[in-house]
Amino acid sequence: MHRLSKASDSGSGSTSVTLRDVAKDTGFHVTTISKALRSHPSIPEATRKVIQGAAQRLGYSPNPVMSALTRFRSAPPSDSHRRCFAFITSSHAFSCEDLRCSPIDMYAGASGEARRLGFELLTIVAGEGEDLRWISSFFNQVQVCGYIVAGDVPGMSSLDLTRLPVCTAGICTTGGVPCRVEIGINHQADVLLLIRRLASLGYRRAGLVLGSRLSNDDARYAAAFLDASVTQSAELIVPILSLSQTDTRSSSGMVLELDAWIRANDVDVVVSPDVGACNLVKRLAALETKPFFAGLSLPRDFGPTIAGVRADFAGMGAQAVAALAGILNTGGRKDAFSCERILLGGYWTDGANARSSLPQTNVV
Amino acid sequence: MKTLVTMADIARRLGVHVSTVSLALRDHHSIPPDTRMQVRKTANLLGYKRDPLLDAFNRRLNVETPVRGSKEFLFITTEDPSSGPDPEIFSQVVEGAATAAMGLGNSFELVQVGGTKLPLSRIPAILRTRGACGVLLHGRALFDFFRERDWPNLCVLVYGCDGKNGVFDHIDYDYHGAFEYACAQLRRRGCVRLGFLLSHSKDSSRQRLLLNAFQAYQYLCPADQRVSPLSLCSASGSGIVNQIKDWLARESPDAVISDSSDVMAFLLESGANIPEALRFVSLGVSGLPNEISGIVPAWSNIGIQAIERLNAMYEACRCGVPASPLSICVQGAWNEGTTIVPGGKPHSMGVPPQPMA
Repeated sequence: MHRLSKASDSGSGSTSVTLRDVAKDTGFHVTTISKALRSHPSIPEATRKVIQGAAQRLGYSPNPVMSALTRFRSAPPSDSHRRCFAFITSSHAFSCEDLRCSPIDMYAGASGEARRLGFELLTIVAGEGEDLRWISSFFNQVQVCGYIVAGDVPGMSSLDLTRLPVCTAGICTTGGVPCRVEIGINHQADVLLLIRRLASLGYRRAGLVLGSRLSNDDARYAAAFLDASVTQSAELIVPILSLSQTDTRSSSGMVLELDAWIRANDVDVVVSPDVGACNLVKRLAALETKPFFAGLSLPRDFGPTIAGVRADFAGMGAQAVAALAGILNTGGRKDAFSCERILLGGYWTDGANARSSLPQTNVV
Repeated sequence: MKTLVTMADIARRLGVHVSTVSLALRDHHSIPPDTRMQVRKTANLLGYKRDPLLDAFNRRLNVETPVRGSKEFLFITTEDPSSGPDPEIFSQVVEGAATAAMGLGNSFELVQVGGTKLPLSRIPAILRTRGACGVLLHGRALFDFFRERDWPNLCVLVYGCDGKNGVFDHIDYDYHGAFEYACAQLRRRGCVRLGFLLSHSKDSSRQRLLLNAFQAYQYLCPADQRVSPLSLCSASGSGIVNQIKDWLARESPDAVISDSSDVMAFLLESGANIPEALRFVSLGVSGLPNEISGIVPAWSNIGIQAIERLNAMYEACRCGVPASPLSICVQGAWNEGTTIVPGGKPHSMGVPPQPMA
């Protein structure tokens, strides 16, 4: 509902300005005025500006009792104050190859938080290559006040929803969708948590291995590792190995390179955000070096026995809803330009491959 | 079965009067913040919802005697606002916070503690007397002080580079995001070899973050596109120009990214042809002149976001030590200056395309 700021004059005359007065002043029909003040899409932008300007000048403010009553009358009682968010994900995100995002967990978190805050949550799963332009009219129909894009939704980038008075949150989107709030992995916190855990498990030298397919996520993990080597215990951290340059070589070549790196740096824990690196470490078992593997935001269903830090996707979903609700409540800007990124740390899971106590040091 | 939860239910549960509940839910200043928060929590627990129709009837009343929005937010700092490492940045953050608080109808105050005047041990007393609902902290000593205690009815947000390892929610400029965005902009304009020049400013923690971001970025580049960064931290006088000359000759970068726009003068002095042969992008940590391309951090925006965040935290009863702390990175805005060649379509901040694309 459109609400104008109350004019500063505190006189009792504030009730006297009605839609009719604004209509008389501007020369438009009362219906036009009513629609324009509610930012109805059928009224041209220029007209709306003129009318809103006139309304402000005259000091018009909608009678809250009347508007509550009309709202009450125009919609079924159960829906009279319904507040609704949409949760958009794609079949692509479900079957995403690097499995860095999990829309199901995100939805679980988002729906829980939405229930707690009294919002309805609609779900839209976009099919492969689906034309998503129906979404904007659908949003108008059901009066969605915000939407969440979870993972990569290819069709969303071509969609122009900036005209709608909705705010957007993106979870782990890798670009293309402009959103007000972005929610993602806190790489720095994840690395710190991992290093602290590894130290408490008694490991001495941890090395980060970047996989053969690199993304911004990998760079952020690398930066966090470099940062940790300055602020935390420097002796635990060794130079980073990047396998991206070995694309042309066979995987056995990669195994050899990994082995050489482990020997050269005396690594006893291989840390990696890459599923491929985990498989390489498994193949190392045939060789003499047997490092422990710890994952960084590996998918939950990939090797549940692998220890490491997992991303809190449910928490991200919850934060997305909370952020949207916060923006709605404070009347913050809804423009579709991302201006903040909210980062969530993950949680440690013990895997079957982790040492539960101090390792036996048969070297010393 | 009774379905509608009323204020009377909350009052009965807490053993307070209905008026207290009513006033507390509207954040009236006559109710102590602790009580307000307790009422809020109980209301959430019982599933209390305001009746929209009654609300509308009462709104006229509320307009005549406004009680909402009297939350008190404090910005506590150990840094002297005028003589800290970045007085300019700090004052912008404070200004933004003050504006946002005023916009939301809340009160806001800057409190400087530490030193001989106000020992940290006085903080609980200060919070009590001011009736603070939320605090924004700045300074390492404060994080240590706050993390050792339990704050069941206080919203805590930390600002600054040093707070990342903390237990509380943290807000700061998105250094890594700014760097990623600058790289993406340069790549879209055909630059391949990106160099990084670290200015000789004294703020080491910010510089470290940016330098790490650059070094991590090197892993994304093919071997022939890697450039080693140059730090001007220890150089001075004419040594700077010679160092830059050597570095440019050795690394031959297409573009230079720097944390400060002051570096531009040195680059010109060392004979760099900007923007034809060498592009320059500044991450403008300490201000960005209009003609230089780069990212304007908009520090006041951090203050605004911080207060909006605290307000939202208070509404959602997110008090004390959170189960999983959030890190909020506020992004800057791109400034299309004359130190890079035009090209690439305008792009909203924060959604940089993949550098490897």
